[in-house]
Amino acid sequence: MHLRYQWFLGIVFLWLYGESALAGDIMQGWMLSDPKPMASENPTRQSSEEHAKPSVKNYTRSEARYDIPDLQMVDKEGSAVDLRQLIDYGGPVMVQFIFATCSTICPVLSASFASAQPELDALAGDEYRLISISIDPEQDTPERLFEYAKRFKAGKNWHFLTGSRDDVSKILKAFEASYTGNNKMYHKSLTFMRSGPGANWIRIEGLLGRNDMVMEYKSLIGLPGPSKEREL
Amino acid sequence: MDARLTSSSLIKKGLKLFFVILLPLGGLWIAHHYFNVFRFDNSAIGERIYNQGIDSSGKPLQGQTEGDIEFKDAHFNCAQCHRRSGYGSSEGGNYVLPVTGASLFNPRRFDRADLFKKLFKESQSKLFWARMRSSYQRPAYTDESLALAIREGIDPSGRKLSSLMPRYKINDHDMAGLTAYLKNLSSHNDPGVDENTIYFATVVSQNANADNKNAMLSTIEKFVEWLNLETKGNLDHPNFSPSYRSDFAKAFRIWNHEVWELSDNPAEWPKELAAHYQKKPVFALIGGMAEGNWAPIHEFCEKNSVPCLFPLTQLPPVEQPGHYSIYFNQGLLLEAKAIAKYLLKEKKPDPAAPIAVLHADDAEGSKPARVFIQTLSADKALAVESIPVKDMESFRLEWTKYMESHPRIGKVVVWPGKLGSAILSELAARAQTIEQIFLPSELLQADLTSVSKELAPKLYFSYPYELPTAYHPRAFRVRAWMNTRRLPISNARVQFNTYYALNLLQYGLEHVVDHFSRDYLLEYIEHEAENALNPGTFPRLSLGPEQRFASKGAYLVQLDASGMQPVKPVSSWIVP
Repeated sequence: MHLRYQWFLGIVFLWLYGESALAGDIMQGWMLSDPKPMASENPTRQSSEEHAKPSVKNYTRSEARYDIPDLQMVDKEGSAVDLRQLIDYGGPVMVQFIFATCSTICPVLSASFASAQPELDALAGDEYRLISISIDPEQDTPERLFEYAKRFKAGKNWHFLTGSRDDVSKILKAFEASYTGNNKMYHKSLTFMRSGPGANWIRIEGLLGRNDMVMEYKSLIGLPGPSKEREL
Repeated sequence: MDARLTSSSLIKKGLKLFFVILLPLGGLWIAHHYFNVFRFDNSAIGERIYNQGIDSSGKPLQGQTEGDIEFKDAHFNCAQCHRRSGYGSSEGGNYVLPVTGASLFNPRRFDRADLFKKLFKESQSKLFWARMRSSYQRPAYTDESLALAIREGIDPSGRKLSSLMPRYKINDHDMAGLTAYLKNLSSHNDPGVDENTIYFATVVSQNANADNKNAMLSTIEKFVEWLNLETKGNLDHPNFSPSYRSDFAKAFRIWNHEVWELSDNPAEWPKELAAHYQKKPVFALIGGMAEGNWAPIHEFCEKNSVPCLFPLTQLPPVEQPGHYSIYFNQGLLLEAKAIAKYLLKEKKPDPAAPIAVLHADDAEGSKPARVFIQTLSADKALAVESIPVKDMESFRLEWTKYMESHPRIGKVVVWPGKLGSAILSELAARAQTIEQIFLPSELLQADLTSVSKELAPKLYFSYPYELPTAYHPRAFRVRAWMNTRRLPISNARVQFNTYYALNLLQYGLEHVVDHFSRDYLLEYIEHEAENALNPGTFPRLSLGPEQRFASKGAYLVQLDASGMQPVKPVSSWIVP
């Protein structure tokens, strides 16, 4: 009797041991309803990586001159701001058009500013300005822009502007950034950069990553970018 | 011997206990592992990741976008771009692909009707056109290839996804939850639609103004009649269009419209609404009119996930969260904020003459009064005295008392609520010592011919509408449509607004094609509200993702003494 129990116990123990070794598989059971052999994944990945070579830039850049309208805007603290004064302060400046409820592009546009901030701080200290102008000014009150700025951990060199709808239209027109049907949902992803008053604007159409942003900024202020460093 | 016996009986007991525990556990495991039962539904985790960007440990999603932008931010959730419906979106030439169960887990097939707007009405990137023209689309996703796409941005055809699509750091457990959620995302039509018919209703309360109610309902009736006639004509003639419109025939449904009449007792409304909905679920509520607080209807819509499009209410529940209700504006609360902002800008605080806020004690009186005082509190120098009144008798009494105690009265702000325009004659009789009287726009509907020349310049109205002098090309088109249908225009604002709502609904439905998802419809409405559909009732009507009030400001106006126009603006468009 006793022996039979021991024997049975041994089998159960062995069975449990085997299963516990495959505990990952138990987990997989309810995680992946259609498990496939792991081996098949690797060739797929390899071939896809061949396909997926690092792409060339996702954006196009051009140079242009824009006549900034003389307007009063409101910043995220609710204070009046003179747009020309803010832009023509003497140093490099970058401008983007965004709106706080935007679903796809604006968070990435703003995230590109946000991610470049630490490097810009290290490079330029106080000598740069980032400006995000709302294209939905009636919705984007200073309070809402304040929240938006908080989300992107905006530093003191990053300004958020709202204002009247007509004034925003004038700015969009000045930057040749108006969109079809006057519907903000058709707005384009644009970043404008200028090294200082009197210089040409660099117009960037498309979305930039952190390195793209830093590299563009470096070339704007005449520093060698990472690609040049590699060449050296 | 005894000791041996004891130890053997202990072992026996232990083994019995062991089997009692082990056998059910083993059975459970075998059933789960081999027979696919007792599967844990972890799609709730997926739902949270998808819509809120919070993983199973309660932390915000982490990953990278645009190659090297690191984020740890719940805002980078799936619904942000692919939207709640999963049907994707399009913004500034960036087409976001659908991720519904049917689209992910089947080989990709582009449909011209589904993509009509993206193909022909929006500018798209080169990548979009290349993808459209490629003869080799991607095969169906499997759980593994979906995980690879979400983590590394590689789709099952081996192509690299746009760098705009974040590469997420998601553990296996959460990925399984997300996959489970995606498999069922928008997998069936929402209630209120069948093969041939789509059902709508309009909520009206018995005590709502009868003329306004008729103006709204007659417009809806004519619109539905006209649209159904066109739909029937098209459906009776297959391939009726030599160009693209026949592609949409699968989406055409006859509109069935009902009026849900509610009693005079708002406390009964939830029950009455539930009964109507149970009898015949509708796809959406369109327009609507009820005296007083709209909150019970708002709550019904949220609870049942029924879109409630553009009801004509003065009291939308502004502070309540809402996804399914879309309003023209914040009604009386917007007017209260606009008047307060106007007074704050004037900045002539005079402690000797506080601002008197007279308001009825019902919701239409007390709510705007509260918001007005709250907004005005931004300037501590402005003194405010709030005077609630029950009825006309108490209004007279309180007002006389107030005037006796204040020899000079600067500004009076009145929220008449149920007392309505009767309050005007009372104010007229005692206006000599008052400088300015601020009133809500609804009093402009009252008969103002009896307002004396002395009183008229003292009256200021909030006016959250387009000015009568403004030109809106679409207003002519809407008027022409109504004239052609022999629809008498008895209340242009009510009827034009109703027309706007119907038109936007029709437009949205046409573009969701045969994917009858309420969320998808709302997403189209959000996207297109700003297009050139505005019939001129508001300076601008615009929405955006999760925006629920289409017009955001108000003018302050006075009666036009010249008589050329009913009112003239005394402020710019105030957006509080």
